[in-house]
Amino acid sequence: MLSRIGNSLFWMGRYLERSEHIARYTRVQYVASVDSPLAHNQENVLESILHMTANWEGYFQTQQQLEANAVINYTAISEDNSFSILSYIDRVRENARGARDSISIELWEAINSFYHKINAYAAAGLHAEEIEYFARRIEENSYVMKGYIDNTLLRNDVWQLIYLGMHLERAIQIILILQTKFKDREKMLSGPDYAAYENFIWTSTLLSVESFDMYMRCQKTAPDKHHVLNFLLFDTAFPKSVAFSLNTVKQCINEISFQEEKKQGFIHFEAGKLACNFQYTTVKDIEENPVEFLNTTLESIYALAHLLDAKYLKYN
Amino acid sequence: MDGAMRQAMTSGVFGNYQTPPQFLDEVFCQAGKVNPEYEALYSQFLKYSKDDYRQLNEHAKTSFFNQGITFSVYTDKAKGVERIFPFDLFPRIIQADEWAQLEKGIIQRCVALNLFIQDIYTHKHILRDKVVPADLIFSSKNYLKAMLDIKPVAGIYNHISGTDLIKHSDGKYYVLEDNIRCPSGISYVLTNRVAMKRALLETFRKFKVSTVQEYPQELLATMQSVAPQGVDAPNCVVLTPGVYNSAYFEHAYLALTMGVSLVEGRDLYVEKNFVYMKTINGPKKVDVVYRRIDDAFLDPMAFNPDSVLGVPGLMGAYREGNVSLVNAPGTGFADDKAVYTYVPDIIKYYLGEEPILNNVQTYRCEKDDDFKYVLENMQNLVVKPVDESGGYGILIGSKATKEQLAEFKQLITQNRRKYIAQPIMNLSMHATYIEGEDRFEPRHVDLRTFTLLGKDRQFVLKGGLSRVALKKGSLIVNSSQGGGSKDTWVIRDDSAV
Amino acid sequence: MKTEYEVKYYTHNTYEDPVKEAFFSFQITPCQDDTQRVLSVEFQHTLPAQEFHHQNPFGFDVTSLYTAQPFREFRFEMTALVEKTRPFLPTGTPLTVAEEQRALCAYDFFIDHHLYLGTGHYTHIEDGLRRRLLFREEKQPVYDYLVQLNRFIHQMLEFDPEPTHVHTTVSEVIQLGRGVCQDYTHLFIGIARLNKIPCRYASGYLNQGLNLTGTAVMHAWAEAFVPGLGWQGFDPTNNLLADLNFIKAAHGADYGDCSPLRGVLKTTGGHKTAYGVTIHPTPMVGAAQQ
Repeated sequence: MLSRIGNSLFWMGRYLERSEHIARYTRVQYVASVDSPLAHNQENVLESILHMTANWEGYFQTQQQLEANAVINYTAISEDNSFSILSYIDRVRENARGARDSISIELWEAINSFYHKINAYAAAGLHAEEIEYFARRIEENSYVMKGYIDNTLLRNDVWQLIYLGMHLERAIQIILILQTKFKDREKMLSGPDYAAYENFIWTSTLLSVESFDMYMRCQKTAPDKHHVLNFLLFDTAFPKSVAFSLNTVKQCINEISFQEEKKQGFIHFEAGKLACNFQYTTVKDIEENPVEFLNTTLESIYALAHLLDAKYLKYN
Repeated sequence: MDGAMRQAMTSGVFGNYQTPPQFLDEVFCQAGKVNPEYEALYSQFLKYSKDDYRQLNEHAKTSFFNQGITFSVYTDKAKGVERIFPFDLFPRIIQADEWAQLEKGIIQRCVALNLFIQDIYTHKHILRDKVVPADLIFSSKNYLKAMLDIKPVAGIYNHISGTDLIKHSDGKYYVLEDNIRCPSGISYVLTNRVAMKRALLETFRKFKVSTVQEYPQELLATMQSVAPQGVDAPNCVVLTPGVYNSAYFEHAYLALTMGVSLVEGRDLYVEKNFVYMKTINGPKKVDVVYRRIDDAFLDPMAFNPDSVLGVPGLMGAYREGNVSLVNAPGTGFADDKAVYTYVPDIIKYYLGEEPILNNVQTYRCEKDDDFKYVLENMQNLVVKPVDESGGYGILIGSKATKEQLAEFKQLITQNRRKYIAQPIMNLSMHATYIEGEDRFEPRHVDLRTFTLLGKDRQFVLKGGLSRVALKKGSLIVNSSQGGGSKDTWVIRDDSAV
Repeated sequence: MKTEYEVKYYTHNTYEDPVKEAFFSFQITPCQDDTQRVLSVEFQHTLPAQEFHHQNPFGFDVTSLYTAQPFREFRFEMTALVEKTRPFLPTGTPLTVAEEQRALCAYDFFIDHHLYLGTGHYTHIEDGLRRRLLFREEKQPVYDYLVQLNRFIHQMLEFDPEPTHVHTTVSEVIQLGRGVCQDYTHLFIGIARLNKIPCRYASGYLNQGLNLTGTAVMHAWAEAFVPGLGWQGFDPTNNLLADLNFIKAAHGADYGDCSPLRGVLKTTGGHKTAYGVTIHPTPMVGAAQQ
């Protein structure tokens, strides 16, 4: 496979996963803010959205203050914002188009027709409350595309690379969500509403990852820091946990017939190391300083992604 | 004729169909009666109400759009506007015997042009024998010194030709243009056929239509046949300028249907005079390149040094015989509109045969007599620049204003070599569905055919792209200028089997 | 008479940002012809790649290098030992003026030499400038005229590397009245072709002997076809005929066919280039031993 095609498939998977998480996070936060137990809830929620989606700086370059319609439009559909959901959908399609002769016609048609539909929908702009409808379209269609990925592609390098991109990005997004939630949480570490807020934080975290019911089934207790971290980071049976994602990353890398190179910094070695570290870490080990653990994990994942990009999927 | 049928003829999609008085309509004869070869098709279409047909048409369009069978229109906006190439569900029919004659003529023409290109880049006999003026060739910007004395495998230069034909009011076919650089349009032929079958399977089954689906395999076999010497299982690729090229869909479609890699210049590199592609498993040698990049951009070391689309060193590898290029660079001087007028002589010179296909009478402005004739009769002529394609820079004398005529006279006088003129050919017309009107109207059509030449193999696709000038009265069929297309049904002659 | 030369070409490039991928082509190796024999040639460079060769459309060697390993510095050096025989320098022409003109006007002759008779970007001279030029007198033999043209151009232009560059056209040179060897040569070619004399661009090395000042660079001169004599070299920059001191690398229709170095690089920043040549006559060891 051409390195450029490999690159496109990898990034198609990443952008697909990223757009889905950002859409869901934005939707869940915005909708939850309606009955949040906090007085200044809306501003906090908008800040949280901008942080998680890495749009904080970009937003304030053109806007003076937080305003729901502006934040939602900037995050969801702004053409000037290369980190908007719509920009990611553009890139999913551009990458799919670049790798068109490798993917199935069905997958391509699903991506292409969704791209046209969502662009047509967004053309008129969004009211903040329309994020519910918009984000749901993104999330559902992400599953549709993943369905085509799973059901129409050969289990060869093409599928492995898309899967690799998806799971690498999934691990990143889960960590970004957790990091953002820790940041949100700092805003109220005491006070009369503290308990309610703490519960709100962890519940909305689970909802943002579409995992509330599975969490309850496994952990059988109201969401709190300990259990949520345990579930989202270490539960190897839950397909959105970081441990599960990194394990998939490792498997994909082992399956892909990357150019053999027995030097240090070998991709198989690095991916294995990362996945293993996770297997032998428990929530107790990190509870002292979870934010630092999240930071270092994220750095390791980024390093792995960079290695892939610069060494194996490089074409110019 | 029963009452329902009569009713359909006036209120259905063929209601108020006006047979053009001064042109040949391929579907209806002058009296407005349908021609026998179209009878079955016509009665089928009469069954559609306007609403049914509109839906059928919309359905076909959506299918194209979702498949991404679009071409990009160049604009200043960041997001390229994408349009589907308008497709008409009412096909054009060509009878078996008529086609057999066309096919012979097309092959004859392509073979002669190939010999011509080979001669020009080596011995130049035809120039020495004064059949074609040397100046005409040497002054062409598409004559490439980088091609001098190169010996392509099997002596083939124009592996792929797109010969454009028209049917004149005299009922005869004429060759309008020989496209032997990177002719496009084949993907539309193939996808049109798929759309036809989806939409009108029952109708389709009633005709013995020649298949077109074997084209990708024929193209692959052609490429494999010209692999460099000693290469057993050649690695063939399609080289595209990239996703932003207006014909990207076609490049991807051909690669996909041939099962070969679709590469961009940045995917390839040349080392030790061999071409390699960069893969996730390391370098892989490339043997045959079907390149859809113009000559000037192929190799920044040999041609335009600013090209980022090409592959540095490619011409060196080609000259050393380590890679085959399809088509060869530098074929463009031979499909030049000024050389066109000599094609009948070229055929006679190399093959010793009379040309089977007609050439349109052409006036070369560089010749004094012709130049004078063109200036005096411009209102009855089509004036074309010799080295442009895509229908750009054309003046149709009968439709031009006084100012435009004056302007063109000046342009021609400044650069006589650059212009030729032809009588305004009455392209035949064909019943075409007009969306705004919800009914069929006659529109001008031409026919692009596709021919492959390989080592010991020749192939003409039984079918082609019937291009329609959708604008009322327009003669320009190019997709970039508001053209559409039709499926072309070449009827099988089963008796010959 | 023979002379042996050691010819060196070197270039040293440094880049602000790493070069991620590069392709270089050199047309610098002395060629072999009736008056030149290459005894040995060696290449040394700093890229992790092996040089390779192909012939250009004119039959001259092109040396290329490709690498995808990032680098910020590139040194390249070619060393050749060349045995040069004194070229035949005519004193007159064997043909009459009428015979010469008949040969030049033959149609086959035009076809064989068309690359050196038409003009292009470099060599086309605008109509308005032609009255300033030197044309052949009706009764003048071609060789005689070319010698006169050589002197004419030498006097017409002043050597000055400042105002011109590698893309400068002859028309610009005429208006500037100054330039370097490339410009002198293109002017010679443009005028000779206006006189229907085939003329080509030659690039290579000039042995400047004791006059060597500072760093030398590659040289350019013209070769014109004289009926009855064949290709003859003229160096309008120095008003010399191409003799024992001229070591040719390549010829072509103009500079575009002979540029010593072309490269396609993937890098973002700027770069610095140093380049030069040295030409040393060496004692004929072989001859002494025999």
